Amino acid sequence: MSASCQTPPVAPRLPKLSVFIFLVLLLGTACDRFPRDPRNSLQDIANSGVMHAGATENPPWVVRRAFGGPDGVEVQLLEQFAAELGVELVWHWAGMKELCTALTQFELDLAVGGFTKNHPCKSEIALTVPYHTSYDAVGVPTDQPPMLELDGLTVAARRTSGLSEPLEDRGARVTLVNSLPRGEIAVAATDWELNVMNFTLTGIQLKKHEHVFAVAPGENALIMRLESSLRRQTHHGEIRKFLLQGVLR
Amino acid sequence: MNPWFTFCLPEDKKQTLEKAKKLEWITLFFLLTIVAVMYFAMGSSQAMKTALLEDILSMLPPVVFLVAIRFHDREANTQFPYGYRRALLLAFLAAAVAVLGLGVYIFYDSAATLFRQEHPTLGHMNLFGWFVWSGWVMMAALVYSMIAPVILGRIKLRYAKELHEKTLYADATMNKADWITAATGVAGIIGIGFGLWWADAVAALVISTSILKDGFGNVRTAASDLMDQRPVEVASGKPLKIEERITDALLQFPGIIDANVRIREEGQLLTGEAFVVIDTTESLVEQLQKMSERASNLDWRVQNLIVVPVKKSRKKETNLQGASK
Repeated sequence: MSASCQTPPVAPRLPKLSVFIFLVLLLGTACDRFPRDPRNSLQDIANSGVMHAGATENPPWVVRRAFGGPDGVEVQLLEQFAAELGVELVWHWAGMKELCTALTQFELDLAVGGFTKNHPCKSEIALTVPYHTSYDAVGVPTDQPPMLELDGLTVAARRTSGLSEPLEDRGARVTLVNSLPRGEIAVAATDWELNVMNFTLTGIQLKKHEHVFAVAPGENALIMRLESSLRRQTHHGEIRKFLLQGVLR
Repeated sequence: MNPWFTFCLPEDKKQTLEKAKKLEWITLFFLLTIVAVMYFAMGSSQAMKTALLEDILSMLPPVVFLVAIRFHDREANTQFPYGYRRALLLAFLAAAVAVLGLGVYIFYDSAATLFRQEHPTLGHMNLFGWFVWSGWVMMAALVYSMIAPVILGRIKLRYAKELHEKTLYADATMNKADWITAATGVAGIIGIGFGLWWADAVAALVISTSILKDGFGNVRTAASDLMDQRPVEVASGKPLKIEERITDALLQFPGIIDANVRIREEGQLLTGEAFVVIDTTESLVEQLQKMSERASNLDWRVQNLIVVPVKKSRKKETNLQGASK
């Protein structure tokens, strides 16, 4: 009663598949220099002995000293990286936008200046995995109890903090200040700043900042090496200690 | 309600259909896990993004199948006198158009990436505290994404042929082809590892052409079925030639001078009309009833064939497929 369908038999494909998986595994074990740079950045740095780093001032990450030399958290991290590679670090000051353009055109090897994971240039350049995460939070003077809500409360924030909107969204009245007032009213700033200034953190977090380094796009060997170095250097919360000591402010 | 014309699947096919439904649920479950794994491993690879989109897209046919299968057995009513068998076709067309549209988008996106010479960056990934090259994680995700669909696709392919079920067939072929997508993605990432920035975008381009092919093929199949083309083999698309067999069978009846049959697909089932020239009016009703039953006995899919007695001259006016003599 039923007419069975006559269809050509399907060629078996699983053997091919297993051969393919085997090849991938073989490849994984066979390559020590993997991944490589399409533009040979890491190789060129090693050969020439010079690493070209772009920098834009953004304390405490990058600070420009009185005689033009760079300092700051990221500058010190990068100097350590250069030392690991045994190369000289040449600094190039420029604006954020110029740094991005220079990276996309492979004029610079990498750049620092408080780049974060959500940087506007993130699709054009390469960003490392975050080496440090900080938060913009609300703190109160130590003699006041930490509150859970900001409704109707007056909170001071620095004019360049970009925290007016998140504060207002939570119902706070924002007072913009030139420098944070100590021990009077609630203030909004990064968590480590509040710690340094002896404020009590309230647990109200406004913004998350995941700090990264910028690298020429697709230079995967360089970025891998840099990420390993950053991880070694920051593994035990060194950045936080750095910031809390307040040496950079 | 029309008690004379109801479609129903034979008992063994009903069981196969239940198995197919179960398999589709399993497929959906695996696809969800695959999409989750792929999403977390994705990073900035174009090929991974494309493969992920294809995995999301390949959820459409099972969903369409499972939704439509709830309707297709509903009995015909005054509002829908032909029943709901075509719900499946309609849903299939919608899914096919969606796949085709996304294929076009992905093709454009990959080509643009290649044209702009964007260099994909693959750095470290923190995998539960394990600091590894994200390329390895991506490759592992891609390999995971090919296992379940390939196995499930093969089983579903068998069911689809047995059930004469096109949506299931389209789904099975898409699953079965998934390993090519995954392998292409892996090749793209290996390419990045070797410093070939373009390997990734080229891989994505290759995957997008496979999506385009799927979409185009499915749209064509769905459109042809909605146009009532003659029934075709699910896998090969070749005519089943069931009309010829019915015509031959009808011509065996006593008093039959000529017969002419047209058949269309009604979901998994086949139905249509047979125009016969009979030289006697003796027990005509029984004769026609027997003819319809005879046709149904030829193939489980043929149901409710309407046999219409016509005058001889009618043959010259009609020009139907399966006409003989």
